[in-house]
Amino acid sequence: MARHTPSLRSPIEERWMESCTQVIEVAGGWRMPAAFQSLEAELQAARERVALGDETPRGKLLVQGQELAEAARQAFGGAPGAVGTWVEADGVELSRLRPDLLYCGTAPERLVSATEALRAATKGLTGQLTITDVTHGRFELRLLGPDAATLLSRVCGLDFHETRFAQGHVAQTSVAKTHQLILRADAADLPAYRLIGGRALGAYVWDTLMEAGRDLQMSPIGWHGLERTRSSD
Amino acid sequence: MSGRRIEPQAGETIDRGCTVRFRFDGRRYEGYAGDTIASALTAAGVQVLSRSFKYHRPRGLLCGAGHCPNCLVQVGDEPNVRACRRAIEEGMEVAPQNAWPSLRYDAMTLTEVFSRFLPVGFYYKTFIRPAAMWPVYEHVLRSAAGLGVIDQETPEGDFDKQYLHADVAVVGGGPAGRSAARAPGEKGARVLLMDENEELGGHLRFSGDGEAGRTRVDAWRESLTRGGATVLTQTAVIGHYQNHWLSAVRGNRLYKIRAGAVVVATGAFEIPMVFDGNDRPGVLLGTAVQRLVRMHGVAPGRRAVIVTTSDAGWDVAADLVEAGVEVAALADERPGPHADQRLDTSGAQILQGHTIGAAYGRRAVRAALLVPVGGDGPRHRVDCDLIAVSTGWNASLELAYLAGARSRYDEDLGEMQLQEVPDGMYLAGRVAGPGGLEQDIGQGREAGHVASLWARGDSKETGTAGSGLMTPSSPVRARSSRQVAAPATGHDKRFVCYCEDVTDVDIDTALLEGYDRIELLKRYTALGMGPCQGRMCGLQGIRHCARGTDTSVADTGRTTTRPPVTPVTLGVLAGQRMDPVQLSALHDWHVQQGARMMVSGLWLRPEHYGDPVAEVGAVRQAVGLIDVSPLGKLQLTGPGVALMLERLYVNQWRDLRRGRVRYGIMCNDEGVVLDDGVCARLSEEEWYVSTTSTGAAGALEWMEWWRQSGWGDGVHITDMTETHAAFNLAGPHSRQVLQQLTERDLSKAKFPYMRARRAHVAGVPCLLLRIGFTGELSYEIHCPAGFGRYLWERLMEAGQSFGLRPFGVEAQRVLRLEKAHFIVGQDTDALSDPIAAGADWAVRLDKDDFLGKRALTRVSAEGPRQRLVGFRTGRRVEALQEGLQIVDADRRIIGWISSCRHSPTLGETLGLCWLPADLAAREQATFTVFVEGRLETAQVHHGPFYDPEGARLRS
Repeated sequence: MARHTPSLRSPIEERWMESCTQVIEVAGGWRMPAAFQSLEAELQAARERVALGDETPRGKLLVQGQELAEAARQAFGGAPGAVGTWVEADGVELSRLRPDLLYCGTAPERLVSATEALRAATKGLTGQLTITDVTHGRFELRLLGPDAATLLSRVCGLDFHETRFAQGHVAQTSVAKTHQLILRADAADLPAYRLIGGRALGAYVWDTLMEAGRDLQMSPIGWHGLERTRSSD
Repeated sequence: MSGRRIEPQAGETIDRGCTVRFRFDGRRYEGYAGDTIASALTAAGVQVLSRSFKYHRPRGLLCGAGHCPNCLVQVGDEPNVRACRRAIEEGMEVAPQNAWPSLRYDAMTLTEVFSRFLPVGFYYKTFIRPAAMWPVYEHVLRSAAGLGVIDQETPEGDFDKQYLHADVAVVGGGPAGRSAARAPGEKGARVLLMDENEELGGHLRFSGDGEAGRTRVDAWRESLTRGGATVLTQTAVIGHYQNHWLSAVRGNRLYKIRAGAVVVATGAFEIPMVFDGNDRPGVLLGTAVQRLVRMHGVAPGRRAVIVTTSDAGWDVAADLVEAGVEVAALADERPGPHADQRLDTSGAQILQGHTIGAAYGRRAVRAALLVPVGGDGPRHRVDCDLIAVSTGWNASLELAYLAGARSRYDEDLGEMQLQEVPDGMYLAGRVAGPGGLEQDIGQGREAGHVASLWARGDSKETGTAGSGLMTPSSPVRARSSRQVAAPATGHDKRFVCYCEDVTDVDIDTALLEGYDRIELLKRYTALGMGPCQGRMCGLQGIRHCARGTDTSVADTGRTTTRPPVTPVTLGVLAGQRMDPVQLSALHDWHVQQGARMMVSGLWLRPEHYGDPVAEVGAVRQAVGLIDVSPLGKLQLTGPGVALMLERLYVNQWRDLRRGRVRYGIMCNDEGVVLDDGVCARLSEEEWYVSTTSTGAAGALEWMEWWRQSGWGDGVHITDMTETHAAFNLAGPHSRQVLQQLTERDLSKAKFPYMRARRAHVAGVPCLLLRIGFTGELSYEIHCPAGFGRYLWERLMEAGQSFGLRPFGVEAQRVLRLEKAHFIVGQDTDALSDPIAAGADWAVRLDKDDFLGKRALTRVSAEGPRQRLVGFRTGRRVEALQEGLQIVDADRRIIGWISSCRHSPTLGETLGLCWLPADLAAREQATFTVFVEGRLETAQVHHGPFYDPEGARLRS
């Protein structure tokens, strides 16, 4: 039997392949765009306008069950209180989508340990808890910049004003006529959002956002640029 | 630049240092930056801008405010542009509308010559017989009518939509609106101010003290911006919906606005007067004259006659005198005496108690006939080239009407006045009634304050009359004429509706014919159904209807206001193209291989890769690979799964052992087939359920509904449809191909038919199901979607030496048909139950209650009336197609073909069809299919056409 080294592809690969300068493998084999232009130009777009990046490799877990908050506290030391909010605990973003449904977003390299921590936590609980890795089933996009909310307002009916959808808010809503999860997850002083939706719709959502952001001079941002913004979180 | 351009005006909006060149009707013109098409053409002495809709009469600028149809022109490939609103641009190509062969000489003016034979309703009565001629009539009428020309080659253009949210939305940026917008902002509320003009200021931009007004407007904008208000100019609010959901248009963008409260400060607009020749170029509303003079520095004439009912007309006259225009006469409907110092030295003839009887001239006004109110007394013919009419006003109540407000007609004022507005809506300024500037500002401030309280939930006060927000208290400077129309002179037509060329005679005729309700009158005459949407003619139509039916205006009522209140392009309503499409992880590979893609639900799937017959052959003789990623895939976990499946499917599940797979059918409580697929029990409490591709979302919703409704205790459902890519490797060599990539023993003994196994394939963790739709030995391979492309390519490589071909949906259709498998939604419909569909073997009526049991028990006892059954022809019959009807000897329809293909494997056309149960029960019974007037025969066939024992499938 030959030795195989599987590679992983984002659903948006064909969209960014034409314009990215280099493809790199990250986080266990995901092929991602390193950059689209100079790092400084991408960061400038994020600081001054709006930038769109592909973060599909991020880990994604769904946790179902009545005792999910307890499990999250045991696993990570924290849990979101109300539905529609998220907290970061031990490097994992925990979003309460329903009283019995938790979405966990992790850095790609944190996925396995986060899953194990959750599984370990369930052993001490009496109720049923289901943990499902849906990393491959969802695309994840990152919108950064002062015009990010304006862009979102062209594809989504939510009120993205600071007073209504601040850092720590999450919503399941319609984006460009498709079902998506939106998290307000600022990068340091930059307003930023995560868009998470069905993998098969990834290319469509990317295209739609790029078109909607044309007059805002939206720029794609590569993995290196995203890492830079992450490091300033 | 000369012509009719006057000295610079305080507060004018043009830049005299910047000349702009454009073309109109094939000729070159110049204007200044800031000029509209209409103002630039007026400055150049052009008075005729278009031709009217029915009689093709020459029409020129009338309202100057974007309401009437008179200045509709074509700009490039864009029809119906209002010349009074669109700014000129360098190189702009402007063409008149409704004129052929030219604006000056229009052949269709013949319609006016024969107008006595073309009364209202003529079209309805004439072009209905003979019915066969309608296509001809339609062609001719469509050629003759219409507004502008659409170039179908024009690119789509960039349109989009945007959602906005505000605590208080203020509509109208005049004194009241600005004041309303400032008040809540000072208290921290989010305010959105919208105005359809390019700048805030409302009437102050063209009336009153120009310099002071301009300064004031500039200060307002600054203070609003400082206060955090969002200001959108050139934004027309076109609709109000429930809970203060507003729609607005700015350029190519449609805004959808959710507001906590709405302040309507839309002001009022002038409406025309009905008199002989009231549509002649050179007849302008007073505010149109003021806009031209004060904003654009243009004198619309050299010798003017003013017709008025209030002080507003005297203001117009004064502005014209100041602009150097000779005011020949001023006719004031009021008996007088009245005086205005500004006109003392003008030499104007002041005629109190007079109004206008007629405008003379054809392509331009040459004279006005001024007559005493009531018609008795001497008449005065006054030569002029401009008639400024300032005789009627109408409050811009459209948004309030859309919100459900009720109004009454104020006889003294001659206008509609609101009685009641819905909660959270407040009116301020002229729209609430005529008053003074300071009163408007005060009302606005109060409205903004109360609106912000309402938005915060701190107030229950509404904007009804009596609340102080809608009650005029100042002396009325602008009051409408109390006359329905000026005394007739019989000189010319008298237009009530400019858009549709409806005259007062037309209305009288319609009333005589019995269309004596305002809504009927509107529909019969098309009054108010044109581009102005009744703004210019609505009130006049109601007055004429009231007079003709001898009722009051109040009792006559008004027509229903519907959005959009101003015309918008279809592109704006459509917005950015958003057609969601789902792509599998293999999509790009399929495209690169030249696959012809087809739409299946939201998915794009390969229909074939160029040769579906060869693809069928590959599966039957060697091996094929199909992307079945769109299949619905659900993960069900928990101790209650088996019980829930028992209740949702007609099959039995409790006895399904671990590692086994079973086909299942899901019905609703009427026993109708909803979906089908397979369920694999992966462990005691973990199940993997597949559904149809197009039914995946519905099946998930159905399951989730029942789960949350009490039938899902101890069950968690996770949609894995997009998490897993799925392929089906099918054909006699499929085992050999797959075995090269996995260490899992795939032998029949270790991995038999209808089993599920986990395995690593090419290093990728997969779930393998030994199932298939094709009737061949096959493996359904489910892997994490991110690995999809990689694994597919490894399989293609491994299968190369075995003749592996990718196959698409078309080949799959043929393959499954050869096995007589039905497809839910194609071979079944909203009445099909599994017993009639030939899947009675799957229905376990002996188990506990399940969805559809009651209905299926009855069907089982009584037998279905029709059955889904196979048919074959023994030959190739190209004409047989899906959807064709099966008929009896008398050609009565007794069934239909639901699936049909030519089988390359069996060399004949075959398929599935619905037949009466007794006929379907007779193997080899012959029936006839009605095909385009002739009959084709086919025979009933029971069971699979190919490999009926299923030996290949189980090999």
